[in-house]
Amino acid sequence: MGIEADLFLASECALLLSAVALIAAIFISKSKRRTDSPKAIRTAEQAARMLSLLCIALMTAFLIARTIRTGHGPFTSMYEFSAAFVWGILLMSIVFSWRYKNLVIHLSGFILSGCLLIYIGTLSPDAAPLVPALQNSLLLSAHVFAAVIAYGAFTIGFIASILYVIQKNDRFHALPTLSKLEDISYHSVVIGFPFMTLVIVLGAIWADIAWGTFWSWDPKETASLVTWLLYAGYLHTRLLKNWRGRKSAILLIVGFIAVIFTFFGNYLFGGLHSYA
Amino acid sequence: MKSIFRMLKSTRLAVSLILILAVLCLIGILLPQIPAEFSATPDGYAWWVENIAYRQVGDSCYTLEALGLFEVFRSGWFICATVLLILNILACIIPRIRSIQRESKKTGVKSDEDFYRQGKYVFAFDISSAQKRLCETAERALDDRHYSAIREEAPGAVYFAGEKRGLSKWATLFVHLSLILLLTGVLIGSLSGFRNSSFVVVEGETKAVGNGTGLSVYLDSFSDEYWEDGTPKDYRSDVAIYQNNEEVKSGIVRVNHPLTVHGVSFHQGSFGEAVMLRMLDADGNVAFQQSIPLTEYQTNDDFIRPKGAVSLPQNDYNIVLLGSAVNGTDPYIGTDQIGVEFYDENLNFIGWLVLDHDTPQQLGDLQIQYSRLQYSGFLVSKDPGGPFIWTAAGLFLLGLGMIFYFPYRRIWIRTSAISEHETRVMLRIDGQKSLGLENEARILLKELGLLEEPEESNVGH
Ligand code: HEM
Repeated sequence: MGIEADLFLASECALLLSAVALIAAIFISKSKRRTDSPKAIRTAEQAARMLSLLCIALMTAFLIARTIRTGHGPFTSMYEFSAAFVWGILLMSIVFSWRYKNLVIHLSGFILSGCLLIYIGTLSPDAAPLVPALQNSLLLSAHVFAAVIAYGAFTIGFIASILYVIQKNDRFHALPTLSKLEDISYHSVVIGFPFMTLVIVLGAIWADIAWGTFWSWDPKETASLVTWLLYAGYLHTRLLKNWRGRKSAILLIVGFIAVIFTFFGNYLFGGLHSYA
Repeated sequence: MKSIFRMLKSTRLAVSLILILAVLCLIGILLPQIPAEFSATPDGYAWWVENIAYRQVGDSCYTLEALGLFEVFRSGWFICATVLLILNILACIIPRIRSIQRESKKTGVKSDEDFYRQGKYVFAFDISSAQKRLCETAERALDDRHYSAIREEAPGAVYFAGEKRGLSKWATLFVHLSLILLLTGVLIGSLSGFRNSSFVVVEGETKAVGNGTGLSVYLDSFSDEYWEDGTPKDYRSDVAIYQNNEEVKSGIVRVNHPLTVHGVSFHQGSFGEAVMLRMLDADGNVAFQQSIPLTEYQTNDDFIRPKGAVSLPQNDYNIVLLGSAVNGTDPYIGTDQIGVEFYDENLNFIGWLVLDHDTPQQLGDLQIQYSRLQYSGFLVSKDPGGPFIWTAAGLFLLGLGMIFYFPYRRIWIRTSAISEHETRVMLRIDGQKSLGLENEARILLKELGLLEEPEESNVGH
């Protein structure tokens, strides 16, 4: 238990440091008095990126340590699943900020991860033994891993959409431009939607093996279908009705609310997934 | 007719249907849904609405019931929306087949400058290189980037038109057809499959599956194991499956490890206590012998006890068997005992007794005794829709991958000689997906040796 707790704490510290470094880097690069040399900007950015990489490395180490101790992937309780979700958001924040050269997205993702880490702190880290239905490590891991990637990507889409609504006419110099936010949102769905589909398909395969039925309208299952339909709606309105901008952003925000609903669904409604 | 088709084709209908389905799902999550065992009979249905649903939603339960909202996923609303969605998808997608087919032939190889200017990603350069050499580089670059390209010449100009991943043109079609395949699979499953979620077999007993399968299941033994903290670890049923009295398969059924015979799957479901009840007459002949699973529960004086029932046709008796309470220490029925209640044919209570495990007791001129067994409850199902559903899911994922990650791309290059050493190059690149298109264009320009050109004039946006 010791090393795991240490790694968790270290991840939290690294997250805090990264956030501070990100704020500093954003502040330096966007400050009106552009007296600072470009070198200072680059150094600040690099420091922030290094710290973020350290943070995700520590989080990865934490998840691996836990996997070794419990003998199964970190995918079987709210504690483990939330930690995996944090990992997904960190990963996607880093990937998107690197791809779109933007630190605000990065910072927002890290702040959300921080909130989730605080929530995890309130959960019990004890690892319960696996009930029979969960003893299918391959499918379980693939199912939840796909969810982590999908939810991580949708989180970025959510952040970009919120920023889009705030940004309005490119009024904030510090935020990404509207068109960049639009691209980021769309890209997040391009990653999230196929993975969400995979989550549902793998879940159905697993249910078919464990319970003899691929679909039973269990609340968590249904919530994931609603989420999936909302993102399908986003793709269609975008492609066929040429929806862009604010309307699409709001649809993605609603989509993300559905993600949260799906994530906590078993807490709210019970059902077959109530172990998670 | 035409206007119906136009409506079926509309995106507004598609978006509305997707939203309607989402809302219906939400209702299904928020409102209690009637479990299958109650909805199977009208009595059970009425009882459930009056008791369970009433307790949760009050008087509105009758309105909600009339609207079918306690069975949302089987309601007319849901089925209608799904059928409309299928028609909608077909109406949207079928007319597109022709246009997809024509896609690559739509614009010719020799296009004028206006055609280039209309594109989203368009680049134009005047560069100091001989036209011939440039064309050779272009051919190589297109080849390197896996475009299948054609070359045509006109006086003063050489044209290239290429495309790649032609199959991906069809990916949106795959995606929608696979949805239809999926729903077809669901339909086939619900029409010609069956599902019994509480097929109970007691240890040592053989029971017929029915549903026209000709199969029967013999349960040799059942065992349950627990982790140290009491959470379940493993449930295993050792079974043999017979068809026409011939064993066709045997093995262990565990959670996550079903057994399948001729398309019929046996999954581990529930388990519990069973009783082998035996009565001997005065001459020592067996008057009655049957194993009875205690699959139900009876609540009495705050005690919840496993319960099973059986009727004795010869004597017009009905017998109810009760196990020791599961929610506390039972003052009447110990853990090694069983309660036996007797009722007459009109279900009037006659009397009761408590039996000790494997200890005969005299009852009039009958000797009655029981021994303890376990029962195992299986989920038996046959779903001929399965293969359709899994194929559909695979095609859907494949289609999504092609749409988003291996999209169809087209490219046009036009070179015209300005002078002997100067050539004008125009390049247009199109694709169903704009993501990564700019990047692709950049790579091509680099291969053409054009990116370093200082006098770049970007005609596009
Ligand atoms: C739940 C149901 C549906 C799902 C999951 C689905 C999925 C998809 C996906 C993933 C795409 C590609 C999106 C993109 O390229 O960004 C797409 C495109 C499209 N969908 Fe759907 N779809 C559904 C229902 C419908 C319906 C009901 C219609 C009929 C109006 C429709 C018509 C189209 C059309 C016309 C395209 C564009 C095709 C193209 O670009 O060639 N879809 N759909």
